[in-house]
Amino acid sequence: MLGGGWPTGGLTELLIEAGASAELGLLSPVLTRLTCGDATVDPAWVMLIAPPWIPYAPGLCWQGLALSRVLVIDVRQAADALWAMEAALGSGACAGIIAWAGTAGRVALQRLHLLAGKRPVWSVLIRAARFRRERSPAMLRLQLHLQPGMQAAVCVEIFKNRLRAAGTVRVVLP
Amino acid sequence: MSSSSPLWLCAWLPAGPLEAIVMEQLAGWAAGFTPGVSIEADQALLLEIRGSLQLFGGPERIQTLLRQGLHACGHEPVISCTPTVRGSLWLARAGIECTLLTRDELRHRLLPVSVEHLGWPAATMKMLAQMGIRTLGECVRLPRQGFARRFGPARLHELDQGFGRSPELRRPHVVPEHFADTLELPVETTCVDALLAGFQRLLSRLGERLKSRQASAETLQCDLRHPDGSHTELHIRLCRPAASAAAFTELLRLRLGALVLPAPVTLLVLKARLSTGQEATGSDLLGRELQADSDLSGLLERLRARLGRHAVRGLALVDEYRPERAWRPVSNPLGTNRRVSRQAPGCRPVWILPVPQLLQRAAGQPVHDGALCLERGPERIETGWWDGDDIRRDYYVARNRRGVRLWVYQDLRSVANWYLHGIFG
Repeated sequence: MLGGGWPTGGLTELLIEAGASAELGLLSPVLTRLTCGDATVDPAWVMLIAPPWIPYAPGLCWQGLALSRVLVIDVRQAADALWAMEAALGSGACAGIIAWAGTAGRVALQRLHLLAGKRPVWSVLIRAARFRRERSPAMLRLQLHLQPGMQAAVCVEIFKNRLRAAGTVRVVLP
Repeated sequence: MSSSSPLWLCAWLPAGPLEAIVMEQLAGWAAGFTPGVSIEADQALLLEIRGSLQLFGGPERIQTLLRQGLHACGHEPVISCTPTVRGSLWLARAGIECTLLTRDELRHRLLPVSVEHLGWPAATMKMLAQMGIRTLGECVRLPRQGFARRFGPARLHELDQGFGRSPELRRPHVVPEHFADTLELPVETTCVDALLAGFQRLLSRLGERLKSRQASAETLQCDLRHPDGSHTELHIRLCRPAASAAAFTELLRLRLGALVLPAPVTLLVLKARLSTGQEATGSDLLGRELQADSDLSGLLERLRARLGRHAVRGLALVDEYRPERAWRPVSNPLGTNRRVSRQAPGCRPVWILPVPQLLQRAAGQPVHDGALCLERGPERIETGWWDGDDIRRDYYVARNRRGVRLWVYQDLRSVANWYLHGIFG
């Protein structure tokens, strides 16, 4: 997908439809690789900021994540999610950062984008599909479309990609 | 006897157990002879003096100085010095003052000592008396296996330690030390920058102290005194002790920014409890890992300072069939071990609802954003009868009209009610 996997060193924005979606199923293979490590990289920390529900440890384990490397951050107000993501990006202590956020000002997004460009961190900002019209400095912008029907598949629409061409990919989830 | 094997000095105070605080004071004073000081049952000080022999000029000299010091405090110690902790302790309890440098000498002196100086419980002493065992020599001549069976392996281990057949480690008594300093502000103020500048001066003094003592601090108490005598308190806690005050500055800035002061501030007080031992710095083989962890602990401290202590957590599995209890939050994710656990309990969703949500039904089938199509199941979970919180459920993976996969169950104990419990995705 995306011609060589998810990009690091730049902000990825993933837009989802309101309510339950499949974003974590889409992202979990990367989270698994980061938390477990492999022959070339050591296990690293990942951070889930302001998740919409309670991340269920047995489910994450079923996906293959190493739970001892997962951090969950709860926030009281929406603005804190962006602040926490900025702090995490700035520290360089986590290899993967996923934040669920609502409205985000241009300035805040620009700062996240600049920070994300400084280190090889995989950072994903998850927002509602209604923000698609807003301009965003993110390096990669995706929208997730659920496929009604029986197949465990989702469509990932790449509508902005600074590195490669845009397009649509169909992904079968485990 | 090698020059690196330990030499233990025991100062027994026959006058009886003393107050714990008195013993701590004495231990603090005795730390002037060696860092390896520990307290035994509030009645004896144990000093590991091998490393201090050259400095003080031999064991006799240390004994003399220790005796003089304890005399000055009104204590009459019995002092004994041998290669083992328990050997010194037993001899001192028996009232025998001696300096023995080898295990053989120790063994000869211990053999005639009465078993009553072992400090064992009355029941054990009665059994020994019934067997006609009066001295340590008679004790160690008993068959080892029979001794362990009769009195427990721990007692045999104590004997081995006393005679130097197995090593004994003692955790040194840590002498707590406090830092407290105040700063009078030139003018009354509520300005955060001015307060922070004041605290920074106090923090730099704390930093100097930490450096000179090779100590570290983990918690900080900041008092902001108001003109009417009242004060506002701030407590700052790090994930791990820091050897420099810089770690506190950023946290203090965040906390002061969020603080609502009831009145202007005239005086700043900074208090910290110091502990010995510097923090590990990334200079060994694992240097990179340590550095990454210190970055992470700094990040978690910042997040906690702004979002609250419970906002940051890790996740762990719990061995439990009831889905809602099969996990727990971990309040100190850095402290957990790094073992990669991969035993998954079966197909489970990545999200769980805090409380299962009752689903509407249409024509007997569960509905959630349209009729649900049951894709996989049932997985029966029936457990918990022993603690009265038992469950009997059939779990299914279902898909709704929009294509969202849900984890639903049918409660078999009530009238076939359906609940939404988790979301795949």
